[in-house]
Amino acid sequence: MKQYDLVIIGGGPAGMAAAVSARENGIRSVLLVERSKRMGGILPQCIHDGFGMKYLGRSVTGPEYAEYWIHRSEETGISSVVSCDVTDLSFSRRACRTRHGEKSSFVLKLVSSEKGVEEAEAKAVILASGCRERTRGQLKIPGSRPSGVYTAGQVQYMMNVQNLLPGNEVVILGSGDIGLIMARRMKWEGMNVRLVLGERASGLIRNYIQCVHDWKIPIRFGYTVLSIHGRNRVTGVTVAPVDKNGRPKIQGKQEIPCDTLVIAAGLVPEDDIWNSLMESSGRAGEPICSTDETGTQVEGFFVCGNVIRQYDTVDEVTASGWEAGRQAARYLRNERRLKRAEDRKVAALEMREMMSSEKHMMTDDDLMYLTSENPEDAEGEYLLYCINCPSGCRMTIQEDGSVSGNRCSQGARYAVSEKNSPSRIVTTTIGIKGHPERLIPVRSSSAVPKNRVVEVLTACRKRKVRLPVIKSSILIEDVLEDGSDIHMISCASYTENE
Amino acid sequence: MDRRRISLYASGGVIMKDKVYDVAIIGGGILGAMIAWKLSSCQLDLVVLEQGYDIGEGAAKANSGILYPGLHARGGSLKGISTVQGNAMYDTICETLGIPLHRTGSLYVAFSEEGVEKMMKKYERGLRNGAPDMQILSGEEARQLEPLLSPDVIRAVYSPNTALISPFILVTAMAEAAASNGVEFRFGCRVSGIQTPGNRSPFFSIRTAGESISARYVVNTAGGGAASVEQFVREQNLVIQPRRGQYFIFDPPASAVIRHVLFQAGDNDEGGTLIAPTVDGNIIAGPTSEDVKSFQDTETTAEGLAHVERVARKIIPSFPIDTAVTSFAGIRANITNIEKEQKDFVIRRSVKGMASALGIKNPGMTAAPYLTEQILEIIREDGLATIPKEKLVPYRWKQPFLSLSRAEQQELWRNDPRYGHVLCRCEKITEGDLLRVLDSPLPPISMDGLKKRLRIGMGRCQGSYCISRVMEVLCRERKCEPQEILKRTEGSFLVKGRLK
Repeated sequence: MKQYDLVIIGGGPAGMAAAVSARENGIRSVLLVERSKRMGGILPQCIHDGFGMKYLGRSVTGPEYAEYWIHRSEETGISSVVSCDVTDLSFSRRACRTRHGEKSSFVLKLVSSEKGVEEAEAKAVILASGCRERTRGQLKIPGSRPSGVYTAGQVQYMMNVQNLLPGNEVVILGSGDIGLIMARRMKWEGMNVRLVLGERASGLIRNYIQCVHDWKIPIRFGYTVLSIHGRNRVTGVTVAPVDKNGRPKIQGKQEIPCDTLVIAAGLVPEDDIWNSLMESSGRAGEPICSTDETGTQVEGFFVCGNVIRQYDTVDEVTASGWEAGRQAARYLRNERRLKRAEDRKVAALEMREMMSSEKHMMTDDDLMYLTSENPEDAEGEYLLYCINCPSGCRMTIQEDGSVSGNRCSQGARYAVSEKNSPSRIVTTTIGIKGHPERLIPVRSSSAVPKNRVVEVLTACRKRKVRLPVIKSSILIEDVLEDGSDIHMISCASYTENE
Repeated sequence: MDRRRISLYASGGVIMKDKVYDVAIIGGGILGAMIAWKLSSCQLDLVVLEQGYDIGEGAAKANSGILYPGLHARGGSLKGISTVQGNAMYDTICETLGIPLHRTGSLYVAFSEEGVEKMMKKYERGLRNGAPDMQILSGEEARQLEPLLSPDVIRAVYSPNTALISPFILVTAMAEAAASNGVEFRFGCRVSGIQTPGNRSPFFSIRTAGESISARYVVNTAGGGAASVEQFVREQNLVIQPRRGQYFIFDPPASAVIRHVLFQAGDNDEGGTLIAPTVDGNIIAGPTSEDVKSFQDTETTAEGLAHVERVARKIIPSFPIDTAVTSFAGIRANITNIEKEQKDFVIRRSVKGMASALGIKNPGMTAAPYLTEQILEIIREDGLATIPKEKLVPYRWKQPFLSLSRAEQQELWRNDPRYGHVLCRCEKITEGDLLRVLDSPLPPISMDGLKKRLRIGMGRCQGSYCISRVMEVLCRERKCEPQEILKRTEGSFLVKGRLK
């Protein structure tokens, strides 16, 4: 049985940061395990930009953020495996002796095509397995059970990685960030998004503006799906407004025809591995209890990222992973942990706070403003929201051109450009010759005038490239063909074998 | 996975034009599959005609997954006796097929004096039906067996013979065993007429959409459609209507919640709603009981699901309602023109050479082994010779790779490393398992067919991780386009095609 000091389950942003951090804190034998073919967890399918604002100080796409951490973990010399599942976790019968006494260690069952079923022993484990999506079944939406009901992450993987067209006429349940981002993605790929609906306004204002408002996608807050119709494929859904307690008002119900229902209604921790540990030690049903962000009631077992708490941005997930790596390193080096739980909590929170910043989530007030016909109010002021970062500053441009409400200089620049010639970074995919089952994520080298985004999308739909593709290479030069020198650039490297 | 491949399976891809089958079985549910399996050990040419795209697409697909103790049906009725007898026959069946059967026992609980009266009536029915070793327990005794049981339970009947079984595994194992021994299965095959033997032909001639099928004997186990099928050969005196039952599946660590099947003496309109562990480690709660218009009407409703939740909480007050993973509905075939107290399963000779099973609603799965004998008896009387084959192709149901022993895993993985590629995390199914099923004697045509065989998509994530990854393997293995892959039947495509 192979032995490691630390095994990290899950190679997403939390797991990769935890691995690098543990390594930089002096732990040599670290194994990072990812179940997908590619390191990065869910990042490779999140082809939109807006990642890494705090950590990298610039906005990158999901695949680019993943590549950054893959590069760092390779530099640090971490051993990692992909296409490998951890299916079971239990306490080792053997305890490892340290100068502070005995500590238990863990046995993991690893399953992969390459090595079959094998076991590994670890002195410490970090669980960074993220979340699953809430399904139609968990939401208890009644009706028939046709094909065409998908969760948002599932359609995201199908559309952005597998080159699959899920359907044509879409209703999206869930007005949080994931729902908004998928609404734009689908619109950009030529699907008709008939309605986005959610019980209340949620999600970052910047996502609302870039994804829904920009593309005039119908959205209704205060609504829910009552029932699903269709014997074979979805034919429609019945929606209805909800009262303050979330109870549907039946008299307001309405049937909306569609062939696809996307459910973007929240996440649940993927904690099967924890459950397997608890079951193996006769503690079935005991939930993970984390008092100080990354530690748990089991010594040597740490958690980070979305499996323990749902974060709004990848920066926070990275911070959580970083902290877990540090705590696991302290544990393995037998350093005394900060004594008081309160102190531990403070230390962990410091990190998180450093990474997070004020986030502007949608409110009904914003909505009222954004959906009003005329954005210019009576005094000739021009009101707008900054979409550069999650802060989503609400800004005003006076008649003399001066900007107020912004908290940084980027905001002011954005305000002026948004008023005169609004433009957006375009993130999409390009097909691969001979590999219809894969796509390459791409982004525009700079912002594209909003009224020409569709041209860029069309150009990307037509183009097919050959493998291999190296990250940051130009796949379509001067995509607008007007000398504006906006290029479409690959966001990740792909070889023939993938 | 493709329309063109339907009905071309077990016959090696060739349907012979003038072939005369010894027995044609109409309806590939549990009863049909069981009859096919039983007869497949004899020197007979058999065919199963199923309108769905897989076996077990009707009531088999949505029932409680339990073997009933035999105290629900009227004492001494065919339903009552076949339940007790059929239940007892499952030990041998499951052992032969190598499929799981958990004899957990059940409690029939009562909450009030009125409920106790109902309970005692059931107990007496049980006695008349021959249900073995029932015991009447006090509320306290019942709670000793089932610690989370409601404090309001005052009496209970304990039945040790109640068991858990997977209807999916049962129906696929029987059908695969039958197919291994030469039984043909035709899917998407709806019967539109039957000509009895006469001057024109000495055989039954069964009309389907594509062709006519000749058979010496006919068995009609068409479930909800059985009355209509029988009507092709005789006047119909039974009215069979669809009755819907809605269910919830919950996914807590089941053993921490309940250990037995829990029936309850319903007050008012609570009907036969029960809660039970499943062989797969989940908890099932349901069914409701509602008359609906069509046998296709398997929609769930907010009211129905709320009812199931309410009853589950009544039995186990701390029931983990928030662990629901899915809900669904099944349809049972309910005879409506006979008074409740007179109603029974009907097994009868429709015409000489043809036997029908009518109104087989719950506990039809429990009763199936006994009913199978009754049906075979009829066609034997009419002249069917059942001479055992000299050699049978042995069949054992196969467990998924990750449930096997270390040594078995090593061997399989060495032959095909794809056994190490986990496709479905919730149910722990690997690509090797999928390939094995695609290569089995009765490979699935639809995604739901795969689900039945491997539980892919039935776990906590309800397929949101695995379905599109499974599609990728199917496209490669079946050399088909993604839009050709169906969930269930025609029109239930999963995707529209490629994006780019």
